[in-house]
Amino acid sequence: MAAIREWISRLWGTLRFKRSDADLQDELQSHIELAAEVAQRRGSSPADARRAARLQAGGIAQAMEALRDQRKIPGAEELVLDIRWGCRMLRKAPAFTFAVGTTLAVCLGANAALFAVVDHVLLRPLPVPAADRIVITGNRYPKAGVDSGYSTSAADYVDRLRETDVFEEQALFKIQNQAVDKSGVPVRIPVMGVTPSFFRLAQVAPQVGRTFVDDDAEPGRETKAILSFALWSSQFGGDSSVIGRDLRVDGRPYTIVGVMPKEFALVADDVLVWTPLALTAAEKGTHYNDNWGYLARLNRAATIEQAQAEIDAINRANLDRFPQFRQVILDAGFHTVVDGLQDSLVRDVKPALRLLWGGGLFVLLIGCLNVANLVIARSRTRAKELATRIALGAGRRRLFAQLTTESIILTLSAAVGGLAIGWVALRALVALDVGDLPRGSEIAFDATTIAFTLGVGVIAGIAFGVVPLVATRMAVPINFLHDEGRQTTTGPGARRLRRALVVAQVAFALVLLVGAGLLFVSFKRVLLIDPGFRSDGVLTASVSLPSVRYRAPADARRFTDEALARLRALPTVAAAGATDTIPFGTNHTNSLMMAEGFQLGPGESIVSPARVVVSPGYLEAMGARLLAGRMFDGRDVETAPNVAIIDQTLAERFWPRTNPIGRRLYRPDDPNDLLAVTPTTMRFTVVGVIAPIKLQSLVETQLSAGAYYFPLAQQPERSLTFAIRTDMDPTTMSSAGRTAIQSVDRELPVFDVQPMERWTTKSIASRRLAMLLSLAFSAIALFLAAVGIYGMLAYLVAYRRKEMAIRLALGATGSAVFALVVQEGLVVTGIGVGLGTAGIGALRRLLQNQLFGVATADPIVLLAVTALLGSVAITACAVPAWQASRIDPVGMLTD
Amino acid sequence: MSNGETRKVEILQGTLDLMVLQTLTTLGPLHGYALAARLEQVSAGAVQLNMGTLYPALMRLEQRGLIHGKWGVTDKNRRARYYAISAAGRRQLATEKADWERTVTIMQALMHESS
Repeated sequence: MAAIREWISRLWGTLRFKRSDADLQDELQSHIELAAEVAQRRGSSPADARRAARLQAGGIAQAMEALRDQRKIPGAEELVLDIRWGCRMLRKAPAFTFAVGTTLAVCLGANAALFAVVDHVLLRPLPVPAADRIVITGNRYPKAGVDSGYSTSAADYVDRLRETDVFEEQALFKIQNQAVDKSGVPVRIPVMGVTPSFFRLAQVAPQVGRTFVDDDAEPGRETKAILSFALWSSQFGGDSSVIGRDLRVDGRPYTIVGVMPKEFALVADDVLVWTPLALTAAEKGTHYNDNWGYLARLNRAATIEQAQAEIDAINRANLDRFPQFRQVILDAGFHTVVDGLQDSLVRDVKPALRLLWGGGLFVLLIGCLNVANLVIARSRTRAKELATRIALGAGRRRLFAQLTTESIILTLSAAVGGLAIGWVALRALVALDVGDLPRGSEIAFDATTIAFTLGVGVIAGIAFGVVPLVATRMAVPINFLHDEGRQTTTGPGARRLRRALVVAQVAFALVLLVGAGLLFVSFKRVLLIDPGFRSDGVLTASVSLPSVRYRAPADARRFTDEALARLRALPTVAAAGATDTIPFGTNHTNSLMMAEGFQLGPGESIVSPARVVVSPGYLEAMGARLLAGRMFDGRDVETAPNVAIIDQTLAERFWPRTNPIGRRLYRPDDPNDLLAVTPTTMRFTVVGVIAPIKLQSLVETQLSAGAYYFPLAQQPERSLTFAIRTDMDPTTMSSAGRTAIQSVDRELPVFDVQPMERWTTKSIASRRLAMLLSLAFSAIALFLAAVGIYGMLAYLVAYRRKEMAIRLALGATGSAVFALVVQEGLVVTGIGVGLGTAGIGALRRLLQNQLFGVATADPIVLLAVTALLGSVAITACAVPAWQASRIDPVGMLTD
Repeated sequence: MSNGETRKVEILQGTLDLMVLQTLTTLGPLHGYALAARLEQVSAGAVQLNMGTLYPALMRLEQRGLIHGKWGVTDKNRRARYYAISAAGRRQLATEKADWERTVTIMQALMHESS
């Protein structure tokens, strides 16, 4: 590093250092005069003194020579010459320059865009100090149907504060959408409730004001708020006097105490406000009630494995401390996972992005193979030039410098073009919802991406610069010079190399094509999954009723009833309802449920199915399929007997051989015996069974424990999403729907007004992105492979013209010559396809978990891809083959 | 020349830089001739620099930013280019001096041992 700095300062000093010959000469002259002056003072005559001085100081001419040498930048003049020579050479071969330039620009552009995504989502540490030491934990109960997510109970937090010593800091958080006034309009924004330790854990200082102190989270005093930079600048104009001002969150007043810096984000990057999380004594004492997120920062010396061991030990101790839960918890397969925070955020997209990045690099590789081929072809025509120069005594180092300079000019310009393409491509990716990826908001085209692209450009430039030299290396110069008269066939070595390059291209292209084909088929299969509802024609709109104004459940009920009545009164609305859990939304609840008379087998776990609250009309609006019984209606009011609708999955679990209608579910409420039914136990009569509705995602990785649905009137909820079924395009209903809801309460923010299909699209965004990108990559790869095949054969035909002419003259038909050339192309393609197929086998494990409903060895995909590649190859062969068959033997041979 | 009997010292690559920097530190800004005269004087005539050695060395030091040159006027009202050491030069001198002293120590120990 110091060496580089020294070199740069030298270069800079040298560039800046400009002294004219006259100035230098003046200095030398003054030296002589000073020396003469001294000699004269010692008593010499002026003439003797001058002569003596000259003698001692040496000649001015020699000194000037040495100074001029020193003044030059070492190598700079050569570099300027090389650049000029390189540009001239490239201008002299415009077709070559264009082909190489565009190929590399496209490949580098695709890679630049993808690198920007990969770098920001996967590679970069989270924007807090030592982010790799922050861990997140999640309680899992796989046998009860809870095997994902990162939630923890407040009691776990208290236990860990007391009993662990691997953590430097620990914090609980809870992110909720809450209403905040923005320029007088109430909007719903993500608000993160945090224990004051959260900011100490983050180790990020506020931009203005302070972060929370422990006292801020005492119950009853949790009225402080910290703003994100984004909210501060958009809402308060970045004014520092904001400290101490009021902020209403869900109608409650908070005092602003601080503003976080711009780049700060932890866990979720869309949080706009932080509020203190006050935990009640009851919450702190309840285990297995996983309603919070938990973060911890490892000590400098501690590892994630040690943290896991300590948390496991606490979990084991708790089994003994709370023996009443012991069996149930064991049967549910309870355990806590400890993951790096960054890892947990990108876990879902990591394999897909890595795969895509691999695809991008494959494209680059194919492009480079193509360029290598072109460079070899060109170096053949330049071999004589180089051989002549070597024979005349040019040093290999000089030749190397010249050739790499020329090649770097080309690849670096291509890299600059690639940056432009990449920038456009990234804009397109952002339009394709790449922002929905975790950390998506961080994605930007920045210095790292630019450096990466230019770096690859320079490396490619050096590599291609070496090629012509290597090609001439084996050749003794004299042979090349002799070769002049009989350049009829190409050297077998070079030809074999070029064929090998094209084989590799075809193989890589095949792998990419098969990968893209499999992702495409998977995506189509995912779209065919029955979600259990019909999203077409459904508009959704969400509200969150602030507890300040909707204190009693009756207030919320009145609002919902009125809003639904107004929605149903709209023309073209066929059905409307509301739920707390819109499919593929953010709110998901699961809670223990048992059935009367249901006996757990030995070791069988109790289940925690999804709990969904719906108003009458919701399931109808969503197009849920009723399999038995009835939907909710006006009978299911607060005072009526408690009822529930269950899905088929749950029905089969509790009543596999009997009709569930009229049977009762109950919610275990005795902490000492979860299977006991007591006088206070809530019971719910099953009135209907519906086909299972996908709630979290179309592709469910874990076995579903099913779901039960409660009527809204009996289980009030404040965060609701309306579903409105219309005969028209739902987007045309947006403003009418919003107005109808807002006409009930003008101050209520209505958000996420969008067709139901938008939720579905969003839930499969990363899958769609992977599919589209891989299709784009394989299209580029296919094109490049075709160019490669064409180039190889065109070159072949050009160099074997005489041979072809002889064949034709000796009576071969045009079609025989045509077949000869096509055969050459197809052999190469065939070998490439074979190798590529073998390559897919090697990639099977990587690819398999990205696929859905299709095997890596799917014969149809493989056949289709081979057919596509084959027909493209034949097309690429046809042009040079046709040219070969058209050679005029007489003209050629008499020439 | 009068000191024809004195053995001239072959100047080691790099030691000239050190000599120049050290002299400029001790005596302050000097022009080329004064510098050469000073080195000759200190070495009792062993170090005699001709312009072809001295001035390229000064230029090299100036290119590296270790010294700065500026035209000025001598006591006798003659124009001369004066060189002064820069902050970077002082830093460079400190490290090179330490290196040099270590080398000398090693060499002395070695010579002493072998004799």
